[in-house]
Amino acid sequence: MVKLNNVKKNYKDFQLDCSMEIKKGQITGLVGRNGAGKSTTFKAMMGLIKPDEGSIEIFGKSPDMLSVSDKQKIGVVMSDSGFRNAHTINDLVPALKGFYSDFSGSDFKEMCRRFELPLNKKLSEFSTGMNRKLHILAAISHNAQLLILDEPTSGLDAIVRDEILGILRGYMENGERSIVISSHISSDLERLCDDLYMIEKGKIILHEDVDVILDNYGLLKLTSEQFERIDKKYIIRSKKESFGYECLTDKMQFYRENYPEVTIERGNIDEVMINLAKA
Amino acid sequence: MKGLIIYDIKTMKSSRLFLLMIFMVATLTTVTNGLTFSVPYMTMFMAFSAANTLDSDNTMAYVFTLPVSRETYVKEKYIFTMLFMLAGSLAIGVVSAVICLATGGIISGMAEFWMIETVSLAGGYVIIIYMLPIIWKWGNTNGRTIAVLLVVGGFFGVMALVKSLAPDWERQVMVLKNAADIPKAVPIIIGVLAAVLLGAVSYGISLRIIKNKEF
Repeated sequence: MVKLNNVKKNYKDFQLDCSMEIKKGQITGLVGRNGAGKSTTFKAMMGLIKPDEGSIEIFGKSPDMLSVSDKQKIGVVMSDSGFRNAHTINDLVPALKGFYSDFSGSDFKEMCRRFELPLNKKLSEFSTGMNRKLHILAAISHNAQLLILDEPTSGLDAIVRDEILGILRGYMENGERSIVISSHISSDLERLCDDLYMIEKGKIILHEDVDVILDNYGLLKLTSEQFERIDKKYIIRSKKESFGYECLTDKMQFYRENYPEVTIERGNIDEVMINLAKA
Repeated sequence: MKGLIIYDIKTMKSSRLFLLMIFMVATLTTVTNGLTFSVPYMTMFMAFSAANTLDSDNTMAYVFTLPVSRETYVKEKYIFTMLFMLAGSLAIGVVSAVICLATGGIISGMAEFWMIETVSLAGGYVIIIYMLPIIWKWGNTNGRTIAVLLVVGGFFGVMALVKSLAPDWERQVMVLKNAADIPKAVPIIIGVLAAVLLGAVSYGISLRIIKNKEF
């Protein structure tokens, strides 16, 4: 559905240089620390910035060639932009009807009520969490084929995040849709995504299935003596600690089988990201 | 374009208190200064306000993720601000005329009314085609400052240039004005053509700014 081929964008103090693919029927996550290039990547996908090099394809077309009907198949939540604050949800309903042929005002209002969003309150009076919920509901309100969600769960409490993740899972049920989502809450991505990209300083440093990360990546806790004698060919990064060494591996099973005395902790996205970013 | 127009109408609707204030000021200025003062000033103020209630970069980025092309966005903004100014000016004109008559003011007839409206709308038109590209280029706050500086600087610059090139320009203008052989339609045609040309230039510049805008 979406392809970024060697997309480069140069700024004074930052360079984006990434390739990605978002496949039909998959939820793809983009994870990285603040300023790593997540929003820049999303903006490039949406045609809000023009790459200096490389190409981007959405539904087989460059973002600036997308027709109005193509854009009707995309739902977007941006981390730093949204509806005008002067509006109420009741104001937005007729506007969204004008934008999207497949928008149902009554369904949208029903969803807003379900998520306790006031229909007659100005968006300027909404909390961050309410604003996020509104934009997510707007993104999924018109039967989009592709959702591009930049930090959609930031500012939401655990209960609402869980509800939102439930909605997104439900949205994926027909198998024809795709989501690309970024979040700094890695547990959300672990629970939701099929495929994960890690970005650091504008570059993709890891692309793996989430299951592979959770099953194969691990942290070895080694004494200095253990560290000296183990085979290091599957060690991605090692760090000196007070007890000896902490090492990230992408072949946890290899060390389990060959060094049963070594303590191995199952990897999670945060640990993998921290270690890869520093590697 | 339909969605965008509704979106803008709803934005303007949310400024109804501000619009009410414009009508109140129009009423007061009509009572104190007459129709010829209130309608042009309020129309131009309305045009200025319409041009200034555009998206900031922050909300514009989101609009471009909606099913709207950048060309449509620019076209819609020109059409919307013009129609808003037109509707506002006519409403102010009618209200002011009624107040003028009710308070014993003088309006010689519909011809005077339309003359005032035409002059007012021409002023508003110039403000819109001047302001839109500037605001899109430099943003709302900086744009307003730059627009004022350009007008003031441009005025004094042109005056200085004219005075140095043609010290007796005032006499020449009077001669031109009094020339019997110039049909009255000529300045009108020149004015309309100039308005169309300047409007097209403004639209072209705006389109280029918006097409190249990154967020």
